[in-house]
Amino acid sequence: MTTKSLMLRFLLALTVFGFGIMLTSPVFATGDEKAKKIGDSECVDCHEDIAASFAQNVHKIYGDDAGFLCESCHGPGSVHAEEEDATLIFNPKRDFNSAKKSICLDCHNGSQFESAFGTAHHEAANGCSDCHTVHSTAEHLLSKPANQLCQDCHTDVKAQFMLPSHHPVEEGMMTCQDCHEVHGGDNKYAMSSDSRELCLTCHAAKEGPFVFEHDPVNEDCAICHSPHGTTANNLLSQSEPALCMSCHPMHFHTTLTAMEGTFQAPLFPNDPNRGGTTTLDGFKKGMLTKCTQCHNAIHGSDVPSQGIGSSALTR
Amino acid sequence: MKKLICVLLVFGLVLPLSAQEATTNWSLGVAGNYTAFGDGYIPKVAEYKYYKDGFFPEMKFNWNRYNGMNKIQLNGAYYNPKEMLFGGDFRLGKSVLADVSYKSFYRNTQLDLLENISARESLNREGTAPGGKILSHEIQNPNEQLGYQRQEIEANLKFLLPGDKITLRASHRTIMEDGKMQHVQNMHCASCHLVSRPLDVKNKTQSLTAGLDAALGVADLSYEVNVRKFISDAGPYSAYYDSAGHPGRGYIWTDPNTGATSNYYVEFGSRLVYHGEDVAIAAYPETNKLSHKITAKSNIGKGRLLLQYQNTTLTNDAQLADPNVTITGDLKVTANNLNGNYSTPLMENTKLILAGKYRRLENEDLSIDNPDWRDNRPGGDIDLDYIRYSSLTRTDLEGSAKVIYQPKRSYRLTALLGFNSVERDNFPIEGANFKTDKTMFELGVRYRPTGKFTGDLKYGLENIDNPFSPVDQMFEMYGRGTLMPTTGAPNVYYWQRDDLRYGNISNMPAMVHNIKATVKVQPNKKVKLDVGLNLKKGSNDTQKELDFQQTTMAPNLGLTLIPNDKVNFFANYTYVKQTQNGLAAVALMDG
Repeated sequence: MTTKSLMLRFLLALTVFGFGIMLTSPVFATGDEKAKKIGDSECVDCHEDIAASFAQNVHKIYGDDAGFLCESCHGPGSVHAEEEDATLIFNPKRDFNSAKKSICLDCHNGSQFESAFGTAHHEAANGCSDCHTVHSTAEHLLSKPANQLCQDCHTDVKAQFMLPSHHPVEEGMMTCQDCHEVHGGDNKYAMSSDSRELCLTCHAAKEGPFVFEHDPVNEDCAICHSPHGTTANNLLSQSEPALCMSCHPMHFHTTLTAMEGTFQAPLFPNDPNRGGTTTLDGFKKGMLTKCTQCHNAIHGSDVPSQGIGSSALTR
Repeated sequence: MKKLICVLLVFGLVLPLSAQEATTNWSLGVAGNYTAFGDGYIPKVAEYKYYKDGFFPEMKFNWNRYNGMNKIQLNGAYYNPKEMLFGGDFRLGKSVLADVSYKSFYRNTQLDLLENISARESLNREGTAPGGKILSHEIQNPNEQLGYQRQEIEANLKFLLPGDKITLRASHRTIMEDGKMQHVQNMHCASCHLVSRPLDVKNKTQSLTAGLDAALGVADLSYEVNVRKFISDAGPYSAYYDSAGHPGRGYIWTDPNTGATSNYYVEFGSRLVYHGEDVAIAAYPETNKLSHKITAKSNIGKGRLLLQYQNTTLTNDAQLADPNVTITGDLKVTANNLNGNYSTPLMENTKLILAGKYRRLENEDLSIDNPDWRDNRPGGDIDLDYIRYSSLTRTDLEGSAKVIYQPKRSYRLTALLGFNSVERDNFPIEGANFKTDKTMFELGVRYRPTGKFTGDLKYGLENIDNPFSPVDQMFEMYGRGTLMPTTGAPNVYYWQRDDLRYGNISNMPAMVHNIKATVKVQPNKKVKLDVGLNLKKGSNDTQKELDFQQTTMAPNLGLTLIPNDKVNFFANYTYVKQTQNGLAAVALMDG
């Protein structure tokens, strides 16, 4: 079975599954249209626990809908109060619809939240309530410390932060928000700017502009580095020299005979002094060498290297 | 000035908080550790662990005070003299919001031992013992602790003007890195000798941002200007690069019988840019960045439009010069970005999000005037001057359309179609455009009948034409031509073979499939179960014979138990397996 055929079957199954669920799904509870506002005091009669924690809540402090604060988010509550039926009032957490504008954005329409209206991260979560406990007094109303909250869903990233080389997130010196605009961001992975630009915000020494450049540095840091964590040093996606050799050949001194057995340089087949002595041991040792030991200005340099051409990034 | 603003802010807040009825919460945690390696040797046991013999008390605190619309929150943690963080958040009425933070940690780098660097090419003249290009090495200070202390200070201030329409904001950030790094001085071509020595790291990055946000009713406008400066106070350092010697002998040979000096010095020296002289090493240039950003948002029709324009200039203002190579031109990068997105209801329970991005990056060309190859030697006098065209000079275009369909509370479908193109000017040579096109497709479904169960399934596909490749690096292109020695030269030289290396073989995938599935079950507030699987496969069908593949498999299982308000038990198992069947470039020539 070809890959295309597998893909088609998968998409078909996904579509059938989706429509099947749709036919059996409950509709949104949007509150009863006949309901009228009853005021906060009525709500507190039943929801004492929420009211207690709400006293120092930022919404309580800033809210300018005095006396009717609960209903400014939940809508008129008279029918819900009379019937004591939870489905007869709008619950932003339960009734979140990502195809519509979130009720939170009616007030939180500042720049960072606005972008959330149209980005993948917002739709992936089940509304603001997935991360924020709106009635609490926690910092930013977060239901957990920020990093832990992110890692609850991004478990593969959490595992990568446990690898030997990593950004110091587990150490408490960085947060996910240092790189990701959790409420949106116009870039892939909700990054706060283009990935290269983002890395160079903190690692400005690597940005240049330099006279002698290394093309992957101009392209994308992620060609060589894996930002969350790696087994190789310096967040390199592979150890040296394997990483470098995926684009560059190793210096010929160390590798020739390892590839072909006893080597004689083609231009001097009869000259014992021009080949035949590079050993397999040399190749093995070459694999234990780090290219950046000599090419230490790997992100770029203003000064020429010693060999003609000048661009070996060794100074 | 910044300190003064912070101090005034704190006093400004303390006064109203003291005068009225306020709520105060605080917590304090104290612990400690005792470390004894005994011999004074400080190993790199972990990237961020600072070890020193002795007892180190640790402390964590949190103190906050609320009064109506005023707030002070202070928090901090002290782990050891090199690892700590402190911060504060302040709010004064509706008008002033501020925060300040300081953090400091140590990052171990490592000492690269040089024993493994080895290169042998030929036997001695008699063919009896290894000789030729044997690299020797020397580590001048093997016990030096290599790493740097990274400190960061950040402060942000927001001020809402009366009328609640205009917000002024300012922020400052300084990053300081202070320590030692290993620097290996490479004199391979001259004397085959490597010297490693620790050099200072003293980097400082300062960034200042000022902005204005205006809510004008018909539109929200904001403007931001950012200035960033990077400097290094380390050095200056220089190193002596030995005079060139013969690769086989490694030194300038004098015939013991005749007393004649070999011409190796001239022969091999003429292949080098510099030798037998002191040159500057390990210098970072001073760079300055200035960017302006304008954002506008408005309701257009039933939807919301966001447009953003950003202009950035980045200059290298202290380019280190070398007397042997003349470089002409300005080191300056200019970037112009235009982003936009429009989000609108398409029909009942359906939302459409359109996004687009244009970016033009221009890195100015430089003229590089190299010494001639084998100047005044047979087959030499070859001019190796060139114009450096930067691969950074490029035009990026990106666009996507996403539809979200959620007819019922429990059910949601999302679909995305997008493209991204990167067109590089003059890469790798003048006029050779190298363009990468990417098409993206995503389909997702979510099922959430109640808050007790959430299931997500998502499939993503990326199709990439011409993924990035270091075009002239990897292999010689088959049939690219027959090499002949240049006029008068005895051999074909290695740089001639380098010219044959032109093939766009890539170690990047041309097709990526990604499937993500997650299930969250929470039967009640005390128990939660998470199960997930992330599968990713990248391949490059355009070079099938090389069998390039990248795969990721990451299953996950998590259990959270909350028996009461005071106890929270969390266990998670995540397994990540990443494999790559990649390429390795091999050496193909004689030196």
